[in-house]
Amino acid sequence: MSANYWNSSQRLHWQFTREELSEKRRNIEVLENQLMAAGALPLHLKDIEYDYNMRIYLHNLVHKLGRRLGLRAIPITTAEVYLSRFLLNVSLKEINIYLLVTTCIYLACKVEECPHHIRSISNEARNLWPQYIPHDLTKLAEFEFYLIEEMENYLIIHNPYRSLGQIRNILASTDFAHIDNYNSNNGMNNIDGGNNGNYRDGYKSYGDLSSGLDPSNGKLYDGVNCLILHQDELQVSWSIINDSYITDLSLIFPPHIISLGAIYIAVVLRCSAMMNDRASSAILRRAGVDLPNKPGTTNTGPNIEGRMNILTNFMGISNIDLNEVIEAVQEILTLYEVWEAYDENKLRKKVQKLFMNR
Amino acid sequence: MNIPRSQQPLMADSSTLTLGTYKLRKDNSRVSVLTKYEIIGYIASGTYGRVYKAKSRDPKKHDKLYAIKKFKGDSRDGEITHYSGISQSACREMALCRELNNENITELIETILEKKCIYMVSVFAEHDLLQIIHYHSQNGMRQIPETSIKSMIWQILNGVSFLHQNWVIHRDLKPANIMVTSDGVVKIGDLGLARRFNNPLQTLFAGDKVVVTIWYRSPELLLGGRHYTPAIDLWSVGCILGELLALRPMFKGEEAKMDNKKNVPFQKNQMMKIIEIMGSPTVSKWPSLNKYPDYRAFQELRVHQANLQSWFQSTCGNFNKKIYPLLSDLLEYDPAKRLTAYNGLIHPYFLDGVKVCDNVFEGSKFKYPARKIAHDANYLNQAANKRQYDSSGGLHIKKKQRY
Repeated sequence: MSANYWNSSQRLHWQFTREELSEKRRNIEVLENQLMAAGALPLHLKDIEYDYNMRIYLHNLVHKLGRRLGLRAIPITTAEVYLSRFLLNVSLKEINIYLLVTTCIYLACKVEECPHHIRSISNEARNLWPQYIPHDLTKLAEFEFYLIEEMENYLIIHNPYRSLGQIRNILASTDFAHIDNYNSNNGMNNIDGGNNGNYRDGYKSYGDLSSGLDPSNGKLYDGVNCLILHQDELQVSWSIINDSYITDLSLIFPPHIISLGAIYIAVVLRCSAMMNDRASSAILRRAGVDLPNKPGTTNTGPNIEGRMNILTNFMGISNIDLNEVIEAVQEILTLYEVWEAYDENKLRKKVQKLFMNR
Repeated sequence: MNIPRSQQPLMADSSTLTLGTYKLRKDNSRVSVLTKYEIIGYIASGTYGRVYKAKSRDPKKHDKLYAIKKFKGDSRDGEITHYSGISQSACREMALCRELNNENITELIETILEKKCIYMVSVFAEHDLLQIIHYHSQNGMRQIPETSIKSMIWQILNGVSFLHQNWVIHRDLKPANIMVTSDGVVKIGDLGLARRFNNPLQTLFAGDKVVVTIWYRSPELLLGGRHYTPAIDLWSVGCILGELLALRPMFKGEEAKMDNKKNVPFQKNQMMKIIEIMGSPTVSKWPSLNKYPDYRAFQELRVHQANLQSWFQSTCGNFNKKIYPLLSDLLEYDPAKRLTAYNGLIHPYFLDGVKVCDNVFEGSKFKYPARKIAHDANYLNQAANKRQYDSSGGLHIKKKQRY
């Protein structure tokens, strides 16, 4: 359903196991081989793969166009989900990926209620990629039909931003040192569970999130035994969520697993960066956070170790599947490793091959 | 294989620029609407396109009937000659109907995208409230049975409550959009104006300047309210209930048209019609009243005393007396105090007296005529020349706007 992830088409129709995903990708491979054997696809495309490098490239395309159009995070991530759903059924060698990215954004803007005129989206895309975006608007409109059809008309997407806000509020408002007194009605079992009957309550809780990344709004305790996430940590979590769309996580896990994984990484990273760990600082910088190299600038509650303990406590009692969170964390860290060696120019050249001798 | 730079084309050729080999592969695998469904006739046409009655060609489902909505294109005769981008309204309807499953919302079977057209296939409903109201008003103004009204309103509230719990406001509830199946199940239809409100990247107003057909439009919208709530749907439900009782629209105002500058005018006449029955609202009863953009224009209207009780007495007499509190709670001026759909389901009216039937027609002596359909030779490909069935007072607004 539209409000409730648990009854959503995302969970019921577009969430897969890793085995199912590999099965689908094997099917695409078979299809590619058939097309090549039949001469419909040139053989020189053989070494082009839908791997992390390619997916980073696609992710960057989506973000470039999104920035041009001044889009918020939500339509951009919706477009990324559309992109990965489409490429579960279709080989990227069969289509124009620049037009695909443009179409995903065009549709996502409409579905997320921030529509842009087809002409302005097409113009912006052509400014970025003049070689690849046709002047003819009907080509973009035509692609929209195929995109929707390939997604079996399921267009509504649940993203992790909402549960990020919910988890932040629970961490900030619960005394995890006296967890025996913890009242489970506090909403912990209810993360992303939608509202129970009354939309007015739900509306209120959503309002909390819309107050954004300002931790002062969520400051319900004074931070002795609860965990108030630092502004930097929230910003990093937010960026990690954005980056997670490069991976298969959004096709495998519910949104709250991804947001908890992102928070976990953010808190750990900030701790290690505080201790002058260079790799952590590098990832933080990618996420747009530049830490002052002064340890001990944090005033948000207990010390580093204490913060980690609270977070682990929370994870322990939260009924959230920790194995899934760990898997998500590992996947994201792997992505960042690959990203370190990513070469945009190399990819651009590779992608150029897609358009030759077809 | 490494191609030297000089040999690379400046602009890729046209077929690789678009859908390439994929298009051919996909087009060959698609099953067309007409191979799946047999069109029996056409039911209605409106701003959105045309609706056809059809049955499945699958022998196992041959007794089942479907309504197929074909969305209209941009051109003058409504035919689609080229891809122009799916309208915001079609996009909403496709996305929401696919996601929402409830007994009292029109059930979408599938959406077929074929030859530049969108077809939405749903279960066929034999009746709608407008048609039922017409039947009664044209047969000597005989009242709709109380059990039928009770069942209808409960089922409508159930559907609306479901929409609201899913963060969706319908924004165009009116008798013509409330279907009833031959089994007496209410199906709320036409989600073309419906939108999610959990996550407004733009204000609700920014997307659509005008919502809800004028006679069913709530006072806060008429006063220019931009940050409205799901309560606007409940006002419409109140108007529908009034119409079911009176067999004519409760507030039959005339719509002031938009001026050339596309400014939304104050709907003086409609507001007047409401005030004549409901009395003039006051700041003491509706504290945010003076905050609305059109408060000044509103103040120039003649003051009326609350009159609902006598309106009710004169339309219903002693008939259906117990329904009055529900009507009055739905037609509450202050949207913050107006009955919510969720609370409406447990309103004392439904808990006392005659029990609520699952079937609108249970115990009713009335037999409503089947939906009229037109038979013409060239169904799917022919544009509508005249309207078979006009859903009076339709929403002539920017439904066709394309993005």
